[in-house]
Amino acid sequence: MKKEIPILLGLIAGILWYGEFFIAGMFQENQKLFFSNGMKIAGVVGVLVGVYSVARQNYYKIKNKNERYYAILRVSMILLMVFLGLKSGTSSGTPFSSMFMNVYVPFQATVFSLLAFYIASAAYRSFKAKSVESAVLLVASIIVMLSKIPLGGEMWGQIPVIGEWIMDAPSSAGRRAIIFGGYLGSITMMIRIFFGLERSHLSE
Amino acid sequence: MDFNALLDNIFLNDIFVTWVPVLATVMVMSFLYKDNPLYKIGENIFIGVSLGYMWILMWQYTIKPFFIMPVQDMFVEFHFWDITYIIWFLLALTMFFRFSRKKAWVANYYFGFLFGYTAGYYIPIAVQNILLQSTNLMKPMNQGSFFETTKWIVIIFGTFAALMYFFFSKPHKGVLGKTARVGIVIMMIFFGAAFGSTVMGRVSLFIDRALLLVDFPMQSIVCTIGVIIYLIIYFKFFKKEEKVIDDESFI
Repeated sequence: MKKEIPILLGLIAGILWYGEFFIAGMFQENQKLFFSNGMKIAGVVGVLVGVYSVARQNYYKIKNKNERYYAILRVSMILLMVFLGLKSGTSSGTPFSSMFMNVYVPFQATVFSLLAFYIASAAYRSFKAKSVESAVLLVASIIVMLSKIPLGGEMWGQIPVIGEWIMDAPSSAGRRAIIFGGYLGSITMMIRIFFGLERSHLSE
Repeated sequence: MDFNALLDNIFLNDIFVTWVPVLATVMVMSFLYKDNPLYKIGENIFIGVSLGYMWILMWQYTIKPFFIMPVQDMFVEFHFWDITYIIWFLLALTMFFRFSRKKAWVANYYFGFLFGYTAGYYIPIAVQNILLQSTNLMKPMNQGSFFETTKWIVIIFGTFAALMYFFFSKPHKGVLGKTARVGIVIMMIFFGAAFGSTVMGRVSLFIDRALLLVDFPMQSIVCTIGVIIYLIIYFKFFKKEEKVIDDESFI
């Protein structure tokens, strides 16, 4: 019963959601409002659960001397941002926005820019034109990279045009097919949850 | 001095605005040599600041409008309907049982509802998006120029061929096999193009960082020299060599 009743609850909630396509009137409006309030509160309590989880993890790290000083630094930065946000607001020109612009943005941009080095080094080791498919991947990536920089246009005037064509036509077709696959997969997963075939979100 | 003015003086002055971004950039760049404490300090500051930033945004855009304000209104004028907020809040609190090993099942009731409702909500949206993608494909072949027309032909047949690659109800032989092979080529072009775009995006971020260092030359030189000296001292005198376990010694 620890799993059956929750699955039944989910099924009823899902079916009631579909009711709006078939039933009109006060009952339908009220149940829609009732469930949408539930989803909003889920967001609110979800944030609280997240805060508790972070606090708990860092507490155990500090208590068990597992990277204690990094955990203290992490928690103090969280508390500093929360304090600044609550004290001075979040509009531009406040200490909170200054922390965002001068600490968060540089760190984020640098961490992501570091990936350029690792992607390039991984590509150098793994990109080898051993088959037609891998040669196609290699050529497509080189043309797209060249088309995005002035050097590509200087080498041959048609490279930016070919790069744009690759992005618009075959790349768009591949992306579309993968999007179709993703949607079909997610619908299947949702139907499995709906009918209780997928139970990994429920505890024993 | 007023406390707010003190905070403004600390976080909005020129020293903070010019030195901190440069120091942050150089600290993270030090990872290119090896993993080191300066990088880890930077990493943890980044995690802390991003979490604090997200929490404040969540407070402003989720907790305040969806919970604090309705509860405040409840005290001004109570409606019978407001009880639903309290019921949902109490039900949602059962999510905390997930932290307990023995009582984790209590949260199942709420998660069951949440996932079922989300599934019900999401299925029509996904179907709608598939139909939207499909209708976008159905355009006249003649798009004006030869160049534009070839694009549409490749998009339509490329999408079809790539979908055929995922069709496993029949063996990939004959026409289906050849179509599936074209589908693989189409997907390889997509992966190559996605890779190229990602690399160029990362490189442009790196150029942006390099321009920041150029804009503040004094700060950049001081921070870079400081970080290099720290790395030399750390790896020369403090970093212990990692013990390499010889597997054969256990035999």
